[in-house]
Amino acid sequence: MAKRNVSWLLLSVGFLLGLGIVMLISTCAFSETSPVEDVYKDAKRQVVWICAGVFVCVVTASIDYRLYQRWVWLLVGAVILLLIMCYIPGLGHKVNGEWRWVRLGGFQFQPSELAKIVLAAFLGAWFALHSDSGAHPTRGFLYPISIAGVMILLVFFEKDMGTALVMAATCLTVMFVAGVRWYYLGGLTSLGMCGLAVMVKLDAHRTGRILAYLDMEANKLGFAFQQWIGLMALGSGGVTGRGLGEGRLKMLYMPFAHTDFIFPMIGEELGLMFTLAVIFAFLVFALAGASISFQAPDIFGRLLGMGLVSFIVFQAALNIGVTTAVLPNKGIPLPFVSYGGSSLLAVMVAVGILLNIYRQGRTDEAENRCWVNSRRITPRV
Amino acid sequence: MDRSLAQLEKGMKRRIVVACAFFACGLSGLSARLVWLQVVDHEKYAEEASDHYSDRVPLPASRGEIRDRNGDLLARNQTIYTIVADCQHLRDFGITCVALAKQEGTGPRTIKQNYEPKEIVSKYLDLVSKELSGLLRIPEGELKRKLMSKEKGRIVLARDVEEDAAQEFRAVLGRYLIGGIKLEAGERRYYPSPLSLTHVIGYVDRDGFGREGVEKVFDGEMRGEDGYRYIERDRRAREIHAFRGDEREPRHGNSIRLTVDMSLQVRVEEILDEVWQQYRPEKATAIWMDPRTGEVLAMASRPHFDLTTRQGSLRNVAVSDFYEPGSTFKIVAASAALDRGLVTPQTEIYCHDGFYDEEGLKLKDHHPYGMLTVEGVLAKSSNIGIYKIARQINRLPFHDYVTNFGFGAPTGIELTAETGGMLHGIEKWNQSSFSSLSMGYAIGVTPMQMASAYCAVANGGELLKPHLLKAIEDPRGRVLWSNRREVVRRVMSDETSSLMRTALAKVTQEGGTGTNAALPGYEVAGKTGTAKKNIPGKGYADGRYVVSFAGFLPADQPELVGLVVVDDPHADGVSLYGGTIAAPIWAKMASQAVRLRGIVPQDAERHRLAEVDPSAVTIEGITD
Repeated sequence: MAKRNVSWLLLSVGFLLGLGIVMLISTCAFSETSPVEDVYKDAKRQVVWICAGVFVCVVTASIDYRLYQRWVWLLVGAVILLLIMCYIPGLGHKVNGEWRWVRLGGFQFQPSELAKIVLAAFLGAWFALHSDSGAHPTRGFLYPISIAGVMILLVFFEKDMGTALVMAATCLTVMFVAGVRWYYLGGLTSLGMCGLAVMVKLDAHRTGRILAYLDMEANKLGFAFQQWIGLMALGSGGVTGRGLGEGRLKMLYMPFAHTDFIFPMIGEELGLMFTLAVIFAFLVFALAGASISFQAPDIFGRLLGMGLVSFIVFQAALNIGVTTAVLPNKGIPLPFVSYGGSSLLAVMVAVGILLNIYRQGRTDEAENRCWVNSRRITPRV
Repeated sequence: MDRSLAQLEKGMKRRIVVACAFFACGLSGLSARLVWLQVVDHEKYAEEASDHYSDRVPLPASRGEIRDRNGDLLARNQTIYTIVADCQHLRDFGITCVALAKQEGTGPRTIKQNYEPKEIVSKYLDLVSKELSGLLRIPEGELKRKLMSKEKGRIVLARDVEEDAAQEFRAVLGRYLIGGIKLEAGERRYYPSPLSLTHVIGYVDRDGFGREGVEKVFDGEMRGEDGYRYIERDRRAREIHAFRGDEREPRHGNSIRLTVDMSLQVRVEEILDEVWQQYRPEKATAIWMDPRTGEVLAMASRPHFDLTTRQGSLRNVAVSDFYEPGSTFKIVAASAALDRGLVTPQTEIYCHDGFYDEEGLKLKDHHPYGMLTVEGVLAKSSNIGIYKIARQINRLPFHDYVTNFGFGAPTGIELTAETGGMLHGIEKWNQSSFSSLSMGYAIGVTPMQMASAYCAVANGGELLKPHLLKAIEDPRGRVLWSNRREVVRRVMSDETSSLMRTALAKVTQEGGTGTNAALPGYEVAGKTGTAKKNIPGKGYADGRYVVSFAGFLPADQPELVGLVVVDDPHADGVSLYGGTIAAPIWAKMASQAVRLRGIVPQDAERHRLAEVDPSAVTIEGITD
């Protein structure tokens, strides 16, 4: 395992990317938003995004990850600035009543995607610096959580609750691995839960979603419609599925069938075999990623790696949890699989950084025979 | 420091393992959930899902047509459209943006960018209501409110839209690229002549069920069986042809062919309308039959019923109402006595001087007749004479003759709401009811029963089951079933029948009561009937009558039997008798009937007369 962890990592990523593009071709033609003149436009665009993602992955794999440690404050500052820009009407771009996008020079992206990576880098850097402060109430907990909290809350108030949750979970995981006292984390978690409950109660839209989630049958034509369709898609797929391209529910009015709700479409067309394969792929990714972190040469690398692994795994778990109606409905893409450039680039950057951590961790000749290490593009910093 | 760092690293690595275990647990939990959804609940969701995308579409069967004996259409189907708004489609961006883009001369994307979703829907509904309000005859504001009222489901905007109007709709929908408004084709029963044979045909209700008349009786035959097809739809409810499932073709209904001759029917109706105007009766009915087969050639009743508007009385007087027939009923006693050999046509009966009083039984004739032959009793319609004839038969055999003629029981003709009339059991008879019965009182008969009874006299003594159905044909026109002559029973011998025909022919000859029924060129046999009208609860009313004439021609070999009953006619200057009112009507109908049925006159010279002036016989200018 130790030797081959990187192969497993890349294998799982490749499988998920491949499945994603196949399913996108199968579903995008029926999407509400796809243009009539070229129904496969989204699929074509996604191929370009995947190419760009692979390129970005190779580039980040070649950049020494310790650079991020050095420039971490700059990164944190930039991300916070970008997140704030989302709220500024001229720069931010409102989609479906949510301020998730920012437009810069004809190029638009979601800063929250970047925030997830920077959050991991920030926590890694902080605890690398204060490696012995796990028990310290301020240095070991209060300061880092405040700075992380600013990022998380900025994302949260963009109305991107899913990403905020993923970030919070990532934050907790990294802090746990870093050795922060469990009762700090437990207290923080319960406090966060209470805060969340109050927020939901205050927001009629969110309250409706939660109530719909609790009584799905009764609300299957209202708030819970999307999740209900998701359940029907998964359930009707059975073990073997209807067959690729034979999905029926994508033809119903199913918003986000090719983005956030691609997982039920996999379930309907390819069945339990492939839905379990997707979960297994994420498990392999998690273990391979954790193994890379395990063997990282320093604490920053270890924590950064765990942060990146956990954000991807949490995001996948949240997406699958929502589409299988284990969790209330939140819009969040399935990493590697869902359509969408911003999200794909973010996870590919994360993979690239993991690859670099792996490469920096291997020094002995035997390990260097592994193909990922065969050429060193940039010198170590 | 190094040691503590090593310790730290060790702790960190341990916690990484814990974190991995946590990931593995979480993902296993989701896997369990998936197994539950996709294996355990698979059936449930598969069924639920198929409800969403698949649909069982009925393939409606066409209702069979109704034709007359010559093949003229009496009832057929007409394609009509229901205009329905699909509320979900009216809000579909694919539809709304395209239509608005056409209106504003831009592209759908521009529309989507320029307006909020709510604005788009509102503007689109404005467009729809503006363009359709004229055709739908709904004011624009009201139409828009109607379209706004629901977010999902369908709203029926107009029903029974005919092909021409549907074309206009299609043109407008196409011109403005309006989607979400559909024309659903359906069928409606269409009656080419909605004022003829209405009581016989009946009607079909909105759900396609026959409600009265032959439409009801042969509903099962004509309705057919709807087929179905399982289809799958996409989210715009368009059928996905690639996923078409099981289907069964509809079985279209069979057509029926009636025995009615529509050309005769129309004449009969016209004449009955004149009667309705002239005499303002309470009811009137006429039945024309072929005595050789029992086929009904024409049957009309007033008050009228309009098949298109469904206004008027649905009651078919010919089978649903009974009346006291009066003298037309005297054929029963006369033929019974002849059949039993108690009398011959020339047997003389003493009819007193118009009054008869014996053992408390008081009978009265119109005139003092003195001595009359049996034929004379019928020709003059003597009450005293017919009672004396009936008395010779005795009660029990007479009762048997009454029932053998078919009175007291429904004839079984293919119509709804037929009554059997009213005939008291013999145990309830007293002397007066026996005498009353012999002259056609104390009994309720339907016009249909009376017409059948005359058929029996005319055709050699066999009571036939009257028929309206000539044939059943499948949708391709192949005959599945055709009507046969159906003998119910023999009522009298052939000889008796022959004697009766001769006797009844005397009625329309010089000295008889029915001279007004005589038809140039033909020997007409028949019997007049004038019954005092019995008002329920008040007894017999003075000056109010039910007048009738039943007869057949040619007298020796009858091809046509007709009955005319006018209930409570009002007339100035004309006596209210069967001979003065019903007989001329009968003759007028008969003159049309012989022409239309091609019955050759027996007398060449009279034949010429009839040809020169076929409508020589008129209702006007009749004296007693």
